[in-house]
Amino acid sequence: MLWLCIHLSRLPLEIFTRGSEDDNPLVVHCGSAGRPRVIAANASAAVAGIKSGLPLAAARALHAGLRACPRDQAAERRALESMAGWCGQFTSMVSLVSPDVVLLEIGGSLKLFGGLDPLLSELKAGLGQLGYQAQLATAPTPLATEWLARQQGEIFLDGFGKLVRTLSQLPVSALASGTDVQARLSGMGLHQLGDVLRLPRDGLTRRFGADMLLRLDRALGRAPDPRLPFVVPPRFAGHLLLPAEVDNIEALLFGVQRLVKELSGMLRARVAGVRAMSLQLVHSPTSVTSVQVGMVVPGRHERHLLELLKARLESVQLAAPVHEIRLLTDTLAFCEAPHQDLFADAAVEIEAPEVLIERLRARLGDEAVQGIRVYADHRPEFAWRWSVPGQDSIQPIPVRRPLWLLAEPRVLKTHRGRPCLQQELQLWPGRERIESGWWDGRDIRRDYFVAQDQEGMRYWIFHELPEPRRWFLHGVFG
Amino acid sequence: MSLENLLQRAAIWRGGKFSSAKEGIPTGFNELDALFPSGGWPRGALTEFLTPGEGVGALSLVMPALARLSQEKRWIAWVAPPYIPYAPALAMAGVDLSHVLMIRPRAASDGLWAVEQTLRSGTCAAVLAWPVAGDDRMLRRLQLAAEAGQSWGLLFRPGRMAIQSSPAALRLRVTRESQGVVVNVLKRRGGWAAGPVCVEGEGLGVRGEE
Repeated sequence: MLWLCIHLSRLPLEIFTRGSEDDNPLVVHCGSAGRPRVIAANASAAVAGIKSGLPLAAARALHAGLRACPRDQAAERRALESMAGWCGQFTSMVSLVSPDVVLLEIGGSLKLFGGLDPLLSELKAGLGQLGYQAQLATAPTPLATEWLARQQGEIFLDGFGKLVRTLSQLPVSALASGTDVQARLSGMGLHQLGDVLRLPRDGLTRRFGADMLLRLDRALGRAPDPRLPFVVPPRFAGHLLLPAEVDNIEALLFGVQRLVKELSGMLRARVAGVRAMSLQLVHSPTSVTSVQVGMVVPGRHERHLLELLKARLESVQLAAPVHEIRLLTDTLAFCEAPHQDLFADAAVEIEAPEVLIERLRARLGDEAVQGIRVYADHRPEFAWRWSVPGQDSIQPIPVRRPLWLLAEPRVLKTHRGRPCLQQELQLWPGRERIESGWWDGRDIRRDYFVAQDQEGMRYWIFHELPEPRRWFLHGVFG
Repeated sequence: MSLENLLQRAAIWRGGKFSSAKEGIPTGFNELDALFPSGGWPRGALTEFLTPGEGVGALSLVMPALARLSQEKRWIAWVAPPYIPYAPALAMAGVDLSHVLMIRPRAASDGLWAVEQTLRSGTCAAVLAWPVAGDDRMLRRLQLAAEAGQSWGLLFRPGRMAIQSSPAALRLRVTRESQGVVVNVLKRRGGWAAGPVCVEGEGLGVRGEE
């Protein structure tokens, strides 16, 4: 077993900064009794001299245009859970340790990713794209890896060989047992874990209780440490708080991209696709603009989902500035990834028709992309219908028809009793009489002819039988 | 080294005679198959039809090939057609209507975008377009999209565009005379301009046919 720990040390800050690219000074504050203190500051605020522990008023004095957000622990918990869902693509055993640690059991995944280093680099790249800076560590036991990640991270043990030696060098504060125990340990002259480990076991139990010894045993792998696996919820619900109110669509796209990345990681973890997404732009707790995207075929490809969302967002008018983005999906459906053909000779990836149709419809609108089919009616203008693309059609009546039909028959001028379109038209011999449609009030009585002009272009025209007996152009022989 | 040995070598290209690799889409007309370099309509490239108008019969020339392509797995897309493509006539020509996609965008710029998307996606075996505006740069993009998706792009344009240069692999001027549809090849890959060739056939028309 090999455990990987992701310690999101800056989570209270990052839930605000991941939503936008700008780097204005931002602090997160928290505090009781009206005396808020800064608990986290971003890089540009740190440059101005603001660090954690400073009262908020003092921080504002240091930098006038400071943005201050109150700590949102519920949002932190949600973000941690979304992160755990995203991590599911690396392993099936994910466990959370509140408030800012995600543990992954990666022993079984190493072979798939080709070793520890490729897995770590993919994970780091993914975390960066999601907007998090994390400290990573690996060790054979979950507790040991958590201690290592909290201390400084970037320690990667792959077996029990160096575990004792590495843990011995950690300070006793890694035990996280409380300040009074801390004080007693340092009063006894114990500053590193190695010192504690050298003490006799029963003595430790007598002075500090069985709990500390149990934790040390678990960290060293001498006692079992079962962890509760994180159960991925059936739906995806991603939230992104924006540090400042945003009132244009382009600035929102940055945050949307982060959420879609999280979603696609989770989809890959569950080998699932999403059929319906709802992007909600929150203006205030009561006012939300919602953008819906529905798909015929479950989608899971990040670029495809992002394209669809972008296309729908383009037509949205923001009524008020947005300060939170949420991405919700319906229940995820099992959806296999397209297989790579082992002996594929065609270098062309043929996209499924549904994917192309959805993409066209997302930008042009549903009515702009349709199929056609034949309808059983003698009247030419009703012998066809728009249809859902891919729908089968009946066979037509075997009569001669032009390839092009005009949407509305166009009246033709006549010259000496003969119809003309720029020049006089010559009629071919033979006519077709169509009298039909008395049952729905749109009856027609017409004589159809094929006509030709001086350039040789051929048209389908008709002479209406009832008065006033005009000539019309109805089609073109393409 | 004798002349025959020299001519056998692949490093020599002989003008006036093109390679007989037959990987084009069969046109359904012997006269056109003989005229086009790949033995048919060029795959993965643009074909331009320069006509005085729709009534000339350019669409009928491509109907046999479109019918055959629609029976296979891929689709036929029509982007912003000038009139309504009449379903009964298409079905009579053998086109499988369940593989036909009609795209009618409201803005002209969306039309060019739609053509590029359908050419590139590989879903459509053929894409028919009637570009209203189209400079050389846009046509080049469409040509690249057709190559990427291995689709056949058909562009129908007014005859006066013949003087404009174009990256299309095959450019034809189509007119109609009393004996039938007349095709002049303005440009083809691997050969000089050729024609005029008169194509006769069912639906194209000798006068008096019923």
